[in-house]
Amino acid sequence: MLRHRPPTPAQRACVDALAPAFDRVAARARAADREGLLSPETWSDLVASGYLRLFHPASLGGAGADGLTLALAMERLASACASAFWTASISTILCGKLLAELCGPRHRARWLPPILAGARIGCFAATERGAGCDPGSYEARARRTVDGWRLSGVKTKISNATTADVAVVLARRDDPERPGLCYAVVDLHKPGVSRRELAKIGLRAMSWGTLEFDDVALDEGDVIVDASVDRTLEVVEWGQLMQAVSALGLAEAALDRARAHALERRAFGRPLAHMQIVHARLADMQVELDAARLLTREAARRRAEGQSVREEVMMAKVYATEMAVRTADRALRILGGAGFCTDSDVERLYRDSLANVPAGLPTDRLRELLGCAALSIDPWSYPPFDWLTPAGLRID
Amino acid sequence: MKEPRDSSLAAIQTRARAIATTIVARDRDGVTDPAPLRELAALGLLAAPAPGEAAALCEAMIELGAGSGDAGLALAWAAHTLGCALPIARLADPRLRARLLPRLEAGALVGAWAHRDAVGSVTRARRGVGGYVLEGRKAWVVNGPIADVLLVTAITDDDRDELSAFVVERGAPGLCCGPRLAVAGARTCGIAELRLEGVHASEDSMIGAPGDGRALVLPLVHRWQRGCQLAPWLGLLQAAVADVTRRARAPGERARPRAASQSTPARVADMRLQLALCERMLARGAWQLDHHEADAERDLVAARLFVGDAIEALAREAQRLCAPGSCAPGDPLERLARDAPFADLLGHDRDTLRSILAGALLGLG
Repeated sequence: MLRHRPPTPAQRACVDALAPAFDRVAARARAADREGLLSPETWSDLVASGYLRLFHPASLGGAGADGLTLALAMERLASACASAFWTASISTILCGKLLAELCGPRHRARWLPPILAGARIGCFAATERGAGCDPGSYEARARRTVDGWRLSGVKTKISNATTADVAVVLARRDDPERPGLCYAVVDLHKPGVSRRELAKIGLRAMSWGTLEFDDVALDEGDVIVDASVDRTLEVVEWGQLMQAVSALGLAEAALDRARAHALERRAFGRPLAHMQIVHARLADMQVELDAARLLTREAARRRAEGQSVREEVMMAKVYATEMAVRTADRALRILGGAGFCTDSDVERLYRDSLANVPAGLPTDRLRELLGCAALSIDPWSYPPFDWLTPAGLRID
Repeated sequence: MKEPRDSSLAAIQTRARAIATTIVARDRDGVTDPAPLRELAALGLLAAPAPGEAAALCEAMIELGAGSGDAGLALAWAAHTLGCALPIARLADPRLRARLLPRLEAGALVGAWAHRDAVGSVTRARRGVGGYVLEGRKAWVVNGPIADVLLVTAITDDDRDELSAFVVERGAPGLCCGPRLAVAGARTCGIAELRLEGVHASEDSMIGAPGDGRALVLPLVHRWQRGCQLAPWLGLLQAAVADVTRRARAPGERARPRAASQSTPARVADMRLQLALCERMLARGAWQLDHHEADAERDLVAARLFVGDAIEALAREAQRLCAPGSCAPGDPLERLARDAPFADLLGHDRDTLRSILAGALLGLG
């Protein structure tokens, strides 16, 4: 069924109301990137805009916006400042949704209100040094004690690692009766938690680093729910949507800068805007952005309505995140040397766009999951390593 | 488009399957057979689409493309319905419309769109007794060998670059259709060069007024071509990807299915992803045709560009993934790979479309 649902005037108006605050965030984006820090003013603007509340129902203190409004708002903020977008979205969407939907009333009551108010920041800690998209190799462990649990292990490449107050941690439960993965809610100010920043190419104003748990004592209720692969994928759907929308915002910003440069910059007695090869680049940027936007917005709308959209979300994440890198690269080509300067917005947008590709399951792994589903192949079991047979070399 | 589309999807599938039974022979023999095109009349697909019918029309044509596997028919349909019946329905003199449109819609007459001038030729219409006299050559006229009614564009005033559109009927003195062109793809439709050697066109045969060719006819035809023309091609791609998926699962060389190679699922995923994106771009284009909101022209060009690129890329990838079997004559993927370059035959080429789109982005006017 060919159906197109553009945003309604009400949805646009809702997002337009955020624009003044986001414009102020955008004005500080370059400085934030240079200094590797979001300013308190930027965080205040984000909080005042109401962005943090959009993603949760009114019953939990949120604004209960619909899926398309959420996508529009996310895109607008990502376009303004990707670091601010990631910091806020990891906290309120990824960690916030986990707390709201999976971690029970006690943790929800304790952590969600301050996260939505911007007084606390949350994160989701899954990946480890030797374990990314393969959940079978996670090693962080929650060990049962007489009165609760002890958490040990190292989580790395975690967004908001050094700024967060609370983490939902994916850990292996050391319990012979109930083995498997679980979620643990950890107050990151507890003794035994140490953290450090990792250097990175982009998203420099967002904290990203390592969380080390050294026998951290947790209450009985802090290790709260089974983390099946299916459930984890459900959770990371929001993360993947977040990355797809982040890519849309970055691509939109790159296209804006390229368009402005094409109109301003003159060569051979004419603006670049009069050159057909520049037309081709701009057109390709717009067309691919449009396609990514249509798929991502539809996935966001349907996801927020509670529909099953795993395939669409994975597709959106694959296409949008890679599209944003291509778009930023095309913008760099239009800007020429100006785009290579470190005080250029496009240079920052290019670096920032790279983060979306590996985050929340790398796009190549998502391709494998999507393709295996289409071909009825189990994407979780791999045959023993053999580089000759698949290529036919053993027989040839 | 006289019938509601949803209720006729089953009928389209049945008709498409019947058309598919002769596709290999028609493609191999390269004979222009108007029968499949005429059969579309019973489905209401030869009728000029009315405002509000674009989405339903696209859905119907996707179904037809998927079931028939006939890219030539997709071109023939676009030339007949969008290039000829549509401007006659919307813009022609009422008497001309009343005389031709019912028979075009019933499939009794075959229409064609003759806009592209042959290399080195400019088609002109000069004032003559009781109308105009047309001189020139039109290239790559889809349905040319079988057309009864041709919509021909011609310059009526060189100084003002005034382009007008005329309806020219088969048998008009001076109208010569060259032999069917030998082409590598789209071999199930007839493509020919058209020569206009002093063809008389009455005042009534002009669509609108002098200059309306550029002002009204081209924008109308281009809009619908950009929004709907590639819908059957999306169906062709859907069928190809389904075919690739089936073949990838089947035992291949040394009893090992292609799907066992790790690259195959990834490539299949990319193909399915492209299909999903094409669907959404077409859906937005059709929505714009039905509602004509802000940025409609830009969105339509974007749809045409995106789907056009996808046709070329997916046809090639489908053939590569299933090679060498997919290189055999008569194989549907081999046929699609040959047909794909012809998707651009009607309307602007993609480089021009990119400039049109960029012009809108840059406010070049």
